[in-house]
Amino acid sequence: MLHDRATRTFLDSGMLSRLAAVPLLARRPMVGGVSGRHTSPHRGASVEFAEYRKYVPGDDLRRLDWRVWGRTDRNYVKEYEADTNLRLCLVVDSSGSMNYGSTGTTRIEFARRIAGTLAFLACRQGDAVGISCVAESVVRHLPPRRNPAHLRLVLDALEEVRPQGASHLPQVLHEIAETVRQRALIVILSDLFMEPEALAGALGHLRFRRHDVALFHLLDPQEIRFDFRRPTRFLDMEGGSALFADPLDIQARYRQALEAWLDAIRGIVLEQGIDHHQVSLDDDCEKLLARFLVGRATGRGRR
Amino acid sequence: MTFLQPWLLLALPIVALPVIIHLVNQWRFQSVEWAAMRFLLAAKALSRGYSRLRQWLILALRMLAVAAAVFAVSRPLSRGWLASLGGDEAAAIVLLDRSPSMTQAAVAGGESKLATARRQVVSALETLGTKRVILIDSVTGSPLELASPRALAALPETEPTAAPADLPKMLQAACAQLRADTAAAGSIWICSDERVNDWKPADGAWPAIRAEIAAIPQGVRVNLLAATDPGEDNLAVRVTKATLEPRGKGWELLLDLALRRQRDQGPVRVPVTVELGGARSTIEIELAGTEAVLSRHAIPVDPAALASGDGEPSDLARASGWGRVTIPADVNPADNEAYFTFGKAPTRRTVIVAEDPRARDALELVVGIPPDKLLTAAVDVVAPAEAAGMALDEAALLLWQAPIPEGETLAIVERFVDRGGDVVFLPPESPNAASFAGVGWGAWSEHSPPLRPASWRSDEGWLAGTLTGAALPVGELEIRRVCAVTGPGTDLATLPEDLPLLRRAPRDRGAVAFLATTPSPRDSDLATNGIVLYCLLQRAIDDGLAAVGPARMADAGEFAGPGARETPLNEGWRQIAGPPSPSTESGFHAGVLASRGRLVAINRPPREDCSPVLAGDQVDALFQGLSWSRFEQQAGGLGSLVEEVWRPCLMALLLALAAEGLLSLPHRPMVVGARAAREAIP
Repeated sequence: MLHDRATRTFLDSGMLSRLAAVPLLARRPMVGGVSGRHTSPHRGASVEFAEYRKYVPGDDLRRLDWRVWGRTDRNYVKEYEADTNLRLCLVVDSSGSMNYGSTGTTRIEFARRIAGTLAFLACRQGDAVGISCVAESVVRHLPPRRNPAHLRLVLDALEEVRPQGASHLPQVLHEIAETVRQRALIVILSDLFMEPEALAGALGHLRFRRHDVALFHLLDPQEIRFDFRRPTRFLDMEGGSALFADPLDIQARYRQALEAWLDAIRGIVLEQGIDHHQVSLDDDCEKLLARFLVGRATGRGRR
Repeated sequence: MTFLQPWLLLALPIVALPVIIHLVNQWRFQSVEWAAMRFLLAAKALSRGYSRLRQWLILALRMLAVAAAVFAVSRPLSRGWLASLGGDEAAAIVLLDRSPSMTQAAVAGGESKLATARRQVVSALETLGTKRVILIDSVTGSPLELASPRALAALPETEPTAAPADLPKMLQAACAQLRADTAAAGSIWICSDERVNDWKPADGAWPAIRAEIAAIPQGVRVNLLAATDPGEDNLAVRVTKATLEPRGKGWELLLDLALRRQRDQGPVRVPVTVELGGARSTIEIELAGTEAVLSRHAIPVDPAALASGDGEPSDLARASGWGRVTIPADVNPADNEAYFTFGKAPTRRTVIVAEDPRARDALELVVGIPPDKLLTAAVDVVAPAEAAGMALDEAALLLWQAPIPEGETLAIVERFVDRGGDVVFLPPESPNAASFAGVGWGAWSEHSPPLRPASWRSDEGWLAGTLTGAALPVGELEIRRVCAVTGPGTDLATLPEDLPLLRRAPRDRGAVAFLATTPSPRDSDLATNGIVLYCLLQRAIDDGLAAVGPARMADAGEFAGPGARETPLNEGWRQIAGPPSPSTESGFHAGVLASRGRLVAINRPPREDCSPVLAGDQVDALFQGLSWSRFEQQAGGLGSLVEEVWRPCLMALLLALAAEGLLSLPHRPMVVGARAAREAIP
């Protein structure tokens, strides 16, 4: 399925094999084109009983429950749950700020690792995978498809994406909400350095379209600690003007602003029911994904 | 503020070091690509004002700390005006006012102004490292070089006396010393309480003193340690008169007492203890206002029980004795006691040597009438030719109206004057060329209309006003013939065209005066308008009696100072009462001196009791144009005059560092990281 595995530096075969034991499941019913392992809002032909329904002319007589007809002299049709496949849409922020990393790993590299692993897992269980790399607009877009050849295109897109420019993620999320017509699992990987109100609107739009949204909020430890000592000239990675400051003077205010912003983000994701994961770039990626997959597996069953 | 190590102040530019380090630090900034700019911008906007202020405060505190360190090692002085004089080579001349008002303390029994000033000067000079210290005290008035500043506190010449000070003369002595010793720059330290009678601001010598000080080439700094607390609670007691009068078969001592205070604080009864012959009695005097006088307080006296000046039972003929009055202790112990002597008044004996019978008769009449009925007067008339055999042993006054004596007669008169007697020369009809004490007679001149005296000394001396303040009618005299007076002297009265009428010749002891006319009706109306002549001669007799009488009361300094009639050391005077004092300073300390049956009570001068303090502008005027400083001192004050103040500098350094540390403390760490980590835990 993955012929040039050695060239994908952001994929770890060991981690892939270990995570393969846990299925990638949606928390909401998905509408797929083929049968799969994800719940569907429609009745289907699985072995899981759903309900009895009165027979109407035209129904397949093979689905008539004869035992019920024998006991009650009424015709009922036995219905079963339908299982379908999943559309996994990966939304990777590729703005300039994604190129930051103080621990030896940049934010975009961490995002590649998560996105690549999830794409591989989804493809392996027969789900469709697509990707949207977004900065000031959609830089690269691949719609979800099921075939393994498409997975290679997705991985190529991940490998080739270069962080640059400003981030207009909310606008792009609105666009994605409109273009992905059927229910899908939308995984967003971003630093979310934007106005929380704009982000709230975009996530609400996705929820309105009944998408299952997972959000990987990638932050560098240095961005949280902000423990610079010397006077520093900060160069904006998204092309804004530089700023000179003595970190010791503004450290407290910085942390205060950061905390307020994080609180706002947490409020939004809680309100919207988003599967939110705040990730530090020095976190273990495998543990993070295992926690993600297990969390989704335990939440399965709601239709 | 100046410093003992002023060259270390050259390091002051390092005060700018914190600013330079700050600028270098700013210049050595690092550039970092940063993603979370939104928080930086928010933090910068939030902390702009406070951050700038804090930064400036920290820089200022660091500079203050460095400056304080530099100041501390430069050893600043609290009153360090001696930067140019404070080295080891500087000489200090200390003028010490030892007048009785300097014994005043802030509280009764406390340290006196004099002791405080002495201690502070010693401390200051030691701090400054001054090795040459020259003392000029108000008693001797002569320079005394001390081995070290500390000797100032141990010398008997720095103890208080009852004599007033003469600051102009002390300053003149200091100037003379500085002129003679031009090797080192110097400073003059004046320790005084700025009493008007000690400073004599109207003295004509002050302009000359200012000019002298300003002209000293090496430069002189005058430092005035002024203890000007007037001591308003202070009470002073004085015996103004003590007379012995017969009462029945015995004798009675009549005392005139005076109590005085600086400020009226309501009526108060003051117990005054009179100590006489070992017996004490207390009388209460009510003091209302600032002064109370008790006149003729009678105390019966048994002459046989009295001690003479030699400490032996006095004979009835002399009937002299001494006593003491005291009041309760107050802030100034020097004026809480007064000594008095008393004795039978001696005969007012005058010897007249006159060639003109009419003048002689007038003189005989004037000196033969005593001013009090209890006094007796005697006149010995001697012809000029027999003057060589005259007896002057018991005479108080010699009137000489004859050619100025020569030869053996001159020697007799000289001895009489040296003993303390007074001589008044009147012009002979034919003056000779001889002179006495450098003064002689010139030619006669007749004046018609008669001359009237143009000016005379009415403030002091023999022609002074009466006790009621009225002036003598000297100006009403008519002088028809005047004999010129040649030679130096002080004119007590002058006629028009500066003709001397009464000239006093300069003498260390005794008094020698030349009257330019005679009481003869042909020469003047001194006889017919006799008030002036009577006062003149009776006052001369009073002065002369001081050397003859068995008991007298004198002001300290007057008895033994320059120009005094007697020298205690030479005459064998010894102290029989009063606080112990050096024999070299007899006559300057309160007490009773005795010699050969004669007694002298020494007390502070009356003007010491109520002398006001100089006003600030008066002191400014006295030192106008000079480099001087004035330091107000409090008697018993524990502070030092000059002290190193590196401790406050060190304290400022520590405070600045502590404040800088507080301002530099990082703010309370936020829990951003901890919260994120907590959320990351599954």
